[in-house]
Amino acid sequence: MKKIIDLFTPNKKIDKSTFLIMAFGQLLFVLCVWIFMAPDLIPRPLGILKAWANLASTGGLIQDLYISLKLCFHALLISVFVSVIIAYSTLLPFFRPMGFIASKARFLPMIGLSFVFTLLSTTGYDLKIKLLVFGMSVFIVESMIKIIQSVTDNEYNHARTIFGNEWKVVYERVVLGKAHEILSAVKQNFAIVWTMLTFAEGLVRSDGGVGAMMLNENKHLQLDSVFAIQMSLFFVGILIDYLFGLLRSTLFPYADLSIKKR
Amino acid sequence: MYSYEKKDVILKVENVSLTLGDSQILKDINVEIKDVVRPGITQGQIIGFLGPSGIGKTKFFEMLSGIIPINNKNALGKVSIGTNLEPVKIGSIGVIQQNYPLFEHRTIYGNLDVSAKIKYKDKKEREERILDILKRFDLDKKKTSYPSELSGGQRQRVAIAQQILCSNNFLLMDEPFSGLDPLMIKKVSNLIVEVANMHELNTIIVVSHDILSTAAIADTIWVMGRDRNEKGEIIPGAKIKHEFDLIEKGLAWRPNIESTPEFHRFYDELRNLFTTL
Repeated sequence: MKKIIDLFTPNKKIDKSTFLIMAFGQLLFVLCVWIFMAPDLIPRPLGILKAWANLASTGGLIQDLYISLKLCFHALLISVFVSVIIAYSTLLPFFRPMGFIASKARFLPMIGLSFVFTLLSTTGYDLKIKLLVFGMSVFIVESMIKIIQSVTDNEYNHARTIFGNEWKVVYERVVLGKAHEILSAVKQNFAIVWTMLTFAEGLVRSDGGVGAMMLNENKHLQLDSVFAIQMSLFFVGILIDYLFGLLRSTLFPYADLSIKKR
Repeated sequence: MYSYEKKDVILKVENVSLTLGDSQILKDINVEIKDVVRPGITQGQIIGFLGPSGIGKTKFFEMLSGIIPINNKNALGKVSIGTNLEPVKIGSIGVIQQNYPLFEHRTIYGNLDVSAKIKYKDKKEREERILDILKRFDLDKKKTSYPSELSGGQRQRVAIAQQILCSNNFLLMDEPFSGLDPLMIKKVSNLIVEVANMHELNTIIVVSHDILSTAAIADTIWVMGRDRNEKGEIIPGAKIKHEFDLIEKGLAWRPNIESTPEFHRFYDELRNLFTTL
């Protein structure tokens, strides 16, 4: 009884076995609701698994997943490069308006910009890259600027008393000191790419990719397949999230020390 | 009484004033510190800098350290340090802030190394200095740890060590006793005295509102306050209103000074003074 009360007590620490039992119970509950209570139109787990096997063996899911992942990582690399330059340049007063505008551009709907990007692009791949880079960069820039601004006066003054030189202060406090947070911002914002993938790949379907595949399956009301693709993206997303976490703890071993203490 | 001699002026503050917006924060501050020499003893100095909260102690602290530069607009006057009385610039006075900010992305050794690089260009010499100071401050077992793995006391010691390695004998400490229990206050007091006495020219300015702990280790006390007009209203602009030479009073350099009646009388005098500031 006490363990059950603990589960509903704020900030209560529970042991690992209790946590696993609870998580398994919740998963079982969701599966039961899904299987027995969801509307008939919603595909069931077994149907999704069959559709996934079918797509993987004959439908080209693995190749399309590879195409989409390659596209996403290519766009991510460019986005990080662009965002870092824009965000770090806001330390110089001259570039602050540019950073402000770049971060506010996230309120612009992509659909309204697709024509402009089409005009600016030479190939279908180029168009997709430009759309994804724009879509991701505006969010990453916003997060990065917030991280840069989170350096306190005390921290700056401490570095100033050591280095004297403001460029060195910025390098130590912002570039090195906040690198782990910048990577976290990239990790958090990488998920946005999945939401934009369908739109970008939908514009240039000839290249393939899971976004185009999902739109095709949706068009023919193959919901089993749509769910199978969604599940693939979901698990790939979790794997990428884990890998980002691994990269963070390897490159920046100090990053989570204070969190662990809490 | 101890035999001693006051020699060269090693810190001079001349007509320092600061205005922020329409508010006069500091007004015409003039103080100086002379090198105290005791025969056969390496004697650094500790200046206790007291004043009520919100009076402008931190701003004066920032002007002393060069964090707020003298610009002849809103920050006026002159601050000079060293035996040659050169104008202070940021980095020449070590600053230990209240919450001991360190470089969280560097190990303790890395924190000290980045600071030591300013003064010691030779890698071997730098390494020797760092290892020596780690040992002195009982931090040698923590050299590969990160700051977030340290206790508050250990962070403070790293912050002091870091500033000692890069500054020129002067250290400013902002509220070093804040939030500490009596046992820790004693430990920090001992550490400050030890650091002051590491070098003849070492001068530590302790900014605090803990009168008792500050007076117990200081050899000079500055009390910051503001003037009042005929109606008793405060005139904006804080200045050093009182300066006490504790060496002359026989209240400096004595272990367990806190338990003596003459120290208590002085403490009462200071406490009563606060009501007039």
